[in-house]
Amino acid sequence: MPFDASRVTCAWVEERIDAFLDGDDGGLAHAERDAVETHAATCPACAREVAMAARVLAGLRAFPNHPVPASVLAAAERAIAEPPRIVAAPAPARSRFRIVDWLPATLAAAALVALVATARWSPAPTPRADLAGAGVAEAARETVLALSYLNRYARMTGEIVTDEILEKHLVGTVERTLDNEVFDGSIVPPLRRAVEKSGIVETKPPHERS
Amino acid sequence: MSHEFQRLAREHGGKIYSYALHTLRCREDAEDVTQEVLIRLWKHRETIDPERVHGWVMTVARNLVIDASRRRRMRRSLFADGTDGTEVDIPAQETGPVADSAERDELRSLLEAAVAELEEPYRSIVVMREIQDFSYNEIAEAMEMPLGTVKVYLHRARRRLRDRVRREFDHAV
Repeated sequence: MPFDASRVTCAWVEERIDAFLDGDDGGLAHAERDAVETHAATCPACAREVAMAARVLAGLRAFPNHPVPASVLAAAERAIAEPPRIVAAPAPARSRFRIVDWLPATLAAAALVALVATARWSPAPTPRADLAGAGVAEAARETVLALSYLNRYARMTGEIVTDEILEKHLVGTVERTLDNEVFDGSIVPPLRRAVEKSGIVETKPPHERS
Repeated sequence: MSHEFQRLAREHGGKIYSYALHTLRCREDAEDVTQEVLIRLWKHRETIDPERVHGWVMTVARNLVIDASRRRRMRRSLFADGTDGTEVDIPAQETGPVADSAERDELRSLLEAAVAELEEPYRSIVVMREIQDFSYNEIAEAMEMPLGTVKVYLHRARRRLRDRVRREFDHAV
């Protein structure tokens, strides 16, 4: 069936700009490609649209494809060389403090446990004033570090740690415990402010920190 | 084992890392995703259909990118400004002409921001198609979508990117 040139409107062209720029992958028939070109040559608005689309595509296609850092390949190779540890997935009914069983003895974990233990066993709640500033910043820092470290630890050991478990057993637990038992319901806002001001955000595990 | 692993890593590592870096815009997360995909690829290498390794790798990468995005949102919940302190600029391409570099850099920054604003699956499809030059079939396999659906998503994503660039340039004028 011969191509019906009367169908060619600005809307018709606009619908086919991507296919036009995709070349052979676009699936346009030769007659359709010619029609787009012919229309754009006489329609400034469509010409601008085609030019804009081409510019965007050229910009995206100029994005670099980076090689994998050698350290990543080396770490992966080390990981596959070691037999995976068999670790049972945590049961949902576990105590919220069973999270400590998963964590290796690192600074981040120790700090977290210490914070939680303080919250649990301290005979009297620490006054808010004593926990402002550096203490709050440290709590925030260690929470972020421990979360990041736990992700890596779980991956390396093959243990199953879902987002829900992380939220329930780590972030949620620490926040709720500190908030309710130490900070009298006021930890989260100062925690966030302290983190913002501290500039000490770091997601590497403690042993990799400089 | 080492030689075989290195072959797999050479064949697939680059596309995994590039995809993860451009979708997550966080070098550390991209490295984690790449490492994990390579480990899984090694573990499952004997059960993956050789004809479908590319799709398998990219499907796993995409799922891990989504997981990483969720974890990042969790981390962000600690920060009032919505960042998690790990996002980094992706370094610019080191080769190529320096002429028009200012305009090119401006467009690149704008497009990076525009791509970052796309939701899934638009973002992954744009990255795979426009940046990584995957075929439509490869994308359909990786995204586990019909070919036609991929094309529809890509068409919408490109239109959004055009609109975003146009708005920015019009605003600048």
